[in-house]
Amino acid sequence: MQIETMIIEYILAVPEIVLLLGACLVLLTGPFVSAQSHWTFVLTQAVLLATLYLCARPFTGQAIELFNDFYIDDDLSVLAKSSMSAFMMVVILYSRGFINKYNYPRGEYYSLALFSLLGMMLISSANHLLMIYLGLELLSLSMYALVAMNRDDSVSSEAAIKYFVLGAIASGFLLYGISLIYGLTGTLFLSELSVENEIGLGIIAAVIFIVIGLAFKLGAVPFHMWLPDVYQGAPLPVTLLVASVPKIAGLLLALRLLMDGLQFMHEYWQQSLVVLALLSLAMGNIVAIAQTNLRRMLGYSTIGHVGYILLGLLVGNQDGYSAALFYTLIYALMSSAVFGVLLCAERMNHPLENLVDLQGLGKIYPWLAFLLLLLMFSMAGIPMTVGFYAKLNILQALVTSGWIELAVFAVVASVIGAFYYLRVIKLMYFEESDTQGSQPMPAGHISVLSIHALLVVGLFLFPQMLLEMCKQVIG
Amino acid sequence: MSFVQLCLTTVLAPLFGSIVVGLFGKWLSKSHAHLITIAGVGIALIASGLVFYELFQTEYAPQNFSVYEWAKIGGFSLGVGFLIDSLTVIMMLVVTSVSLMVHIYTIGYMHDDPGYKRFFSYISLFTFSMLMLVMSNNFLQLFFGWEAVGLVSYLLIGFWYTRPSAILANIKAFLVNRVGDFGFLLGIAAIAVSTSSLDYAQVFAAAPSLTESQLTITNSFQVPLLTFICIALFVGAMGKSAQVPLHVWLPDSMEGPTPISALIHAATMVTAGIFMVARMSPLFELSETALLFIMFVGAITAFFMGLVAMVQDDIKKVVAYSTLSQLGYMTVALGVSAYSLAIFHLYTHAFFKALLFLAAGSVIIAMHHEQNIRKMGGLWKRMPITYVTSLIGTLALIGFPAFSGFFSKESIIEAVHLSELPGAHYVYLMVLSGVFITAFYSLRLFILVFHGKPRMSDENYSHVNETPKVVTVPLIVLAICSVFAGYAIEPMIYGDFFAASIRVGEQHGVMTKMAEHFHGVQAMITHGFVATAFYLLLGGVLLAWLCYSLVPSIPKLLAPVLAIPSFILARKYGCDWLYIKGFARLGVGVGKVASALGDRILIDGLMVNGTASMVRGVSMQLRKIQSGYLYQYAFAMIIGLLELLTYFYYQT
Repeated sequence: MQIETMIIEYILAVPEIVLLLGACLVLLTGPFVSAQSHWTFVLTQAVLLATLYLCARPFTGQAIELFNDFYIDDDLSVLAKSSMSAFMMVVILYSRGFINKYNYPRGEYYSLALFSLLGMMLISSANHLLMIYLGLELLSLSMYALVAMNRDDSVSSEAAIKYFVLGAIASGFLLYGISLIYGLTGTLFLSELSVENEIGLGIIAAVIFIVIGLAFKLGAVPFHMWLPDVYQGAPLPVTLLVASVPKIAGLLLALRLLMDGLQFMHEYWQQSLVVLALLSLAMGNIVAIAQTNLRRMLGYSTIGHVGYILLGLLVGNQDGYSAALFYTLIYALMSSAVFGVLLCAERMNHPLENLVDLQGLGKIYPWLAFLLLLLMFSMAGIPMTVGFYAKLNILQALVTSGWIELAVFAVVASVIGAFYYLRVIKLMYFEESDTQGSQPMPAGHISVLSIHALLVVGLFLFPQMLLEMCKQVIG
Repeated sequence: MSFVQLCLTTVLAPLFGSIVVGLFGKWLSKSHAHLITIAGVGIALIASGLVFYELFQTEYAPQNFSVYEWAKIGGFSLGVGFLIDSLTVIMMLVVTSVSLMVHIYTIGYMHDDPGYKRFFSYISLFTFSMLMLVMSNNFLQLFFGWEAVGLVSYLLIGFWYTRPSAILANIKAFLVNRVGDFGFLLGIAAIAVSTSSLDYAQVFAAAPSLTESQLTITNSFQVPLLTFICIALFVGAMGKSAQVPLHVWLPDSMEGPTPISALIHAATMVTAGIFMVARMSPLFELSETALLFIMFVGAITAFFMGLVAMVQDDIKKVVAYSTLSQLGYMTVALGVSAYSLAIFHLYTHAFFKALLFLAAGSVIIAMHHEQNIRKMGGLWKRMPITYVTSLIGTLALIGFPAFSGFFSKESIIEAVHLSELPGAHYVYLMVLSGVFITAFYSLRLFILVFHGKPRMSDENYSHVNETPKVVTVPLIVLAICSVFAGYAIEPMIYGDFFAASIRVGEQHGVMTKMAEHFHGVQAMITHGFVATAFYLLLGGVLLAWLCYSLVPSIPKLLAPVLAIPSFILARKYGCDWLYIKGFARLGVGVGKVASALGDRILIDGLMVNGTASMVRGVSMQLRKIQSGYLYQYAFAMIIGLLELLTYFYYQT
């Protein structure tokens, strides 16, 4: 009996085990192969493919708790893990050209990416606050190292040190919140958290500390300061990584903490989320207008999107959670594609660092510009792209539970946001540039990118499956 | 093939031709382009013939079926469906047969035009739209067809888009039709509101219960609902069928190529209004006021537009004003509840007016695009086929006994004579004197073009030749139709052909009285030679002959005497002047003020750019928060934490 349970537990944890072993293997392979070797890349993709294959399974509607209830395996974790693995594969694929071009230590980038994925998977399946903390730290430490990967670049190092110090503070907050919870409830299992007596100030403070830890990871105002600096300062492949997959993990963190653990405190964390969401929507969209650096602008755009995700979360029912999940998945899709475009342009020696670099892109690289146009439309939430559904879902969830004012605010914020997305399009198509597009497009990169970016239209036409999935996994 | 498939084939074959030639014309040769579209329309004609045959087999029992439901809003169904009855099928035959003739004719007329394929695509698209309009079983599809034919008409009037006059004409047509369509839409909206359906069958069934309903416009002002609906719908018809005062676009539409004038602006589209009123006869029969209104509008159009035709010098303009006048006759027939006669006149008119236009086009080709009849003359020797067919068309138009126009027009005049509507005897006088006017301007045109001495250089005259077969064959076919179409009067009007599709109230028994007087075609022709109308006709013919052939100096002698009437007629009663200098200029003025005040200052200046610059300003300030100093970032986080903590501290 004991042995059987153990076997089942290990079978269910196979994806994580494979990923861990794979990450170690990639790390070890690095020093033994030549700098020009493709082996680390191939190995990394193979590990990711195996992880994806092992994660993906049909939804059962059941949740299995394992490893003494520390770990949980349910439909939500399946969806999160498989989508994260898939996105990670795309990220690695886009990054490869850049890594090769600038001779970055390959093994490091790939293995750190895999370790961060492992951290994210731990968060996705956590059923215990310590488990969450463990996963979060694994993710964060990998991220700090990745941001600092280009050691000789001062901007990069500055961003990394800011990220690290602020991240440490946020982790401190989170840990403090967790310790308060333990003191008040006597347990750290998410499914067992509850209070017997009246809700006192202690537990409220604990929730606030946890929410702030969460807000930092997501990048919600006023805990967003690291985000634009990291987006701008980190090497482009790292920005791509930071901007895509961890967003899904961040949402899972929120869902595990707030939905699974602290649903009984909904009334309280809801109020803090309202404040954070409003600030993020306003700040993200308004300050993005003033940016001249494209990556920094995208950083602020992320903050705006985080505002939307928080709006979905704060509703606190199935509609809201699934809308937030859908939004996050779509956001990760769009964001990774945008940075994919940036990386593609960089590989063709036409780096898109500042907004002015976009001038005349429509003439220089028409197809690339067209993909970016679709993505900008989608980010702005204009119909014919899936970004519209993402926003619509959140708004519907808000309106049906009576948050009309918030919905109106969100719409106004996205109108303001539309300005800087459309400005990108204007720069690409309505401004002239004397640069010539001489470089051929990297075939593999552009073909994957095309499918990836066209998905925003494809999912607009057939959104049903993904919407259903997001509904289904939220119990 | 089932009946439904047959109907779908009729509609979709021209659409297919239009799409293929319109979108893929680049890869098609000229002859492929016209073969494909002609095949499409040919198939439509054959399918219409088969539909007619099927209907004939079932003794004209209406077939009403839905093909596709587009949307359902509550209990309100929007869809595509067909109502096929005798009224529809006669329109289908007229549209497809005239369209086929025009397609063939176009091969010759547009031979060297750079827009050859575009033209074929448009006229096939027109055929599709017109068929959708006439075959519809609901108001939505009717409106779709209505707007679609309007669109194609717009595109074709401005077909030679580099000519400023063509652009002016198509904008004019579009705008004037907008006025009509606004009324039409109001009518449809009123129907939708009051019967909560757009389906003909349901609306007609609900109509009798609405006779007492009132429509409240303001608190103190109410109008009878059905009268409102009928007049609103008829305003739409006035736009499309060019009735006074919305007639101004039709003469200008002659800027388009001649085949279009024949197909759209004479034979089919302009009769859509007539068709629509006949189709809605169950509604119109319930409103005496609306019928009276229709009768007077028709009579005014018939009489006064005929007068204008007498002074025109452009060959196409004369035919265009004649079309207006004939449309007036049809409208009068509608007004006196002789719907079947209106449709019958529509049907005969389609053939002889298409013939006259195409003959005019033939002359224009031969004259190398000279349209002024003052510069023609003596063409009968050079163009015998065009001459003979024009003669037939003219005789049919003036209603010479035994020709098709005679049967329909004579019957309409007689129906007005028998009508008991108040004011019908005035209208009778107008339509009767219309016969004289028609005869005069038709013969004037005919004589000036074909007879007398050539008023051009001998060299030019020697270059005038009969047009090629693709032009003359349609003329001959249409001429044959123009002679014999009228003989269908007995089964069509006095049989029970329209019994199931047109409803006439008990109190409007004009057609029953007509039937009592009718003793067969032979008797009608014999009677035609002794009727008042015939003497008027002879008078008109003789006067024209006298003035333009026998003693050509008469018009000049009479000029001082007729100075005032001819001044008024040459300016077409000042309608254009009023519309362009009056309404249009007023509209532009109001628009300019609104644009300057509302748009540029208030909306653009204050609201759009104002908010934009405000957001930008805020943005520029807010970005300063991001100072780049780590300690400030950490400070912000602590502040955030403290704010939240204090907030909840005071809450609990």
